[in-house]
Amino acid sequence: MMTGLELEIINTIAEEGDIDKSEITLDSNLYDLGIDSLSSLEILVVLENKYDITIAENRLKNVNNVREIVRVVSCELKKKRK
Amino acid sequence: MKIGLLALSGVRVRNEKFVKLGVTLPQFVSRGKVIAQLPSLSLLIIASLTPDEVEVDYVEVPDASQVQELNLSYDLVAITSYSAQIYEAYELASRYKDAGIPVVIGGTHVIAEPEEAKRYVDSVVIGEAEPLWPKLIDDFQNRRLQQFYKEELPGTYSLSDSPIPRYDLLKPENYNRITIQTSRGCPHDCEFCAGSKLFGSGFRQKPVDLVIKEIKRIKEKWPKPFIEFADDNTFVDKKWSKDFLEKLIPLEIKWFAETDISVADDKELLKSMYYSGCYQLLIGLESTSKDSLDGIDTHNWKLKQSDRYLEAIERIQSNGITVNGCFIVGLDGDTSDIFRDIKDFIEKSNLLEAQVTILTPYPGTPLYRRLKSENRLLRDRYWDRCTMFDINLRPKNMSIEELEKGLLWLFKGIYNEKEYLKRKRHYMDIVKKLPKRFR
Repeated sequence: MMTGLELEIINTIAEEGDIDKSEITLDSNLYDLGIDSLSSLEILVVLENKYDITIAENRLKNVNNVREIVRVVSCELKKKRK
Repeated sequence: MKIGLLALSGVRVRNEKFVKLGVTLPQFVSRGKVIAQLPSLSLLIIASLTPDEVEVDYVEVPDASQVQELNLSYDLVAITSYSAQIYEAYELASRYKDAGIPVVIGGTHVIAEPEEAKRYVDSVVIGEAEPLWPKLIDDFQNRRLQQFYKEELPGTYSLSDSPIPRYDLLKPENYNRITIQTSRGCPHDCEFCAGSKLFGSGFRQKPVDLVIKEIKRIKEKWPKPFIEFADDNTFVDKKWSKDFLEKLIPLEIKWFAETDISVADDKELLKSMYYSGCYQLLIGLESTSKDSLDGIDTHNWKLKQSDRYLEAIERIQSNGITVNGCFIVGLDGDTSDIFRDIKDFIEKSNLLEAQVTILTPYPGTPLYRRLKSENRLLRDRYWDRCTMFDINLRPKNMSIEELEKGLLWLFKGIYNEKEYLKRKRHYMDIVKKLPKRFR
């Protein structure tokens, strides 16, 4: 069972990448989904705007699969709440 | 009748030190990977020029040495290759010839070295496919294939007559990016450039509506394609460019193009680029050294622009368009200071991506002829080392070792994770403030 955040992030990736969300799992690699590095940065920007967060520079490392994006967004949200 | 259209694909690097570095520095090979995955436009054009009754089979050959069994169902094989893979292409051609299947070869390398190519094939195409291929096929069907097909007046073929490449031959799942050519040639006439001159001098552009038609054809197969405009310099004609971009916006595609720094002068053009889906412009800045830029092109245009490189990059990137800045090392004006200068420039400019390559004298270029006459080429027929990462010339103001060491140092400095993350963050901060594309 996926969390609300996980589902929201998958929906955003599906929308921005124009991909059927049924094709996306937490283990999906963005490149394998046909999302190149520039588009993946723009997806992160959409998520930043959506959640009003700024992903720290050092957290941008290895953000290339869905699970990692969820982890990074989740960390930034926790940081924001503190 | 069946024709095998074989593209020698992939990128090559011979220098072991750079190969090893590629493994540890992912950004070093990222552009190479993209290039390796692009389809061969020339063969798709040839397929389009082939009569309907002739069957065509489009095949990409990443490594000819790995081809165990030849496809013997072909009546004719047509090969295209760049210099770096040309010996592999010749070997594959020889195998087909030995099997009794005639071989035709084309591409920039054989335009420069047709006699060399002829030793391995039945026929060499010296020029653009469009004016030559229909006659070649007709001759082949009538058993009178000639040794050479040469364009009478190179550079005079009108791109208005260009056929739409046979994109339908590609398997959608194999391609992340699709190429389209909107123009041929470049007005800057750089001494080292092989691509822009071998098909004739001057600049020719396709009508906007024809390019739009090609994009629509691509969209039939890839509904949301990433298109790479495979031109030498796409946005030379600003009036054409604006008209084109205006018509591109409703198509909602993402795209990449190669052009020059002059696009930074036109705010309206930059806005249209962003809204029409431009993600990146690859721009040949060539050098940070005025001595090195001096004489690089006939009118010293790049030297005259160099003072405003930083400001121009900032203007382009602030419009949400990333710049992939290209630099060449080993130029005659370069001293061993060039590596630090380029590193400093890249850091200061926040270029999202940078491509640094070694000056490569491709056959057929003015650079090749000059260095040959100056006796500065390190070996004869070094084509498999025309990779842009192998040293083929004796630099003027530094040793070969200094050039190699300096480049390795520069790669480690600019392609490391920390620097790349900084540049990524900078780009995200820009995009965050911009409205959505395609409006």
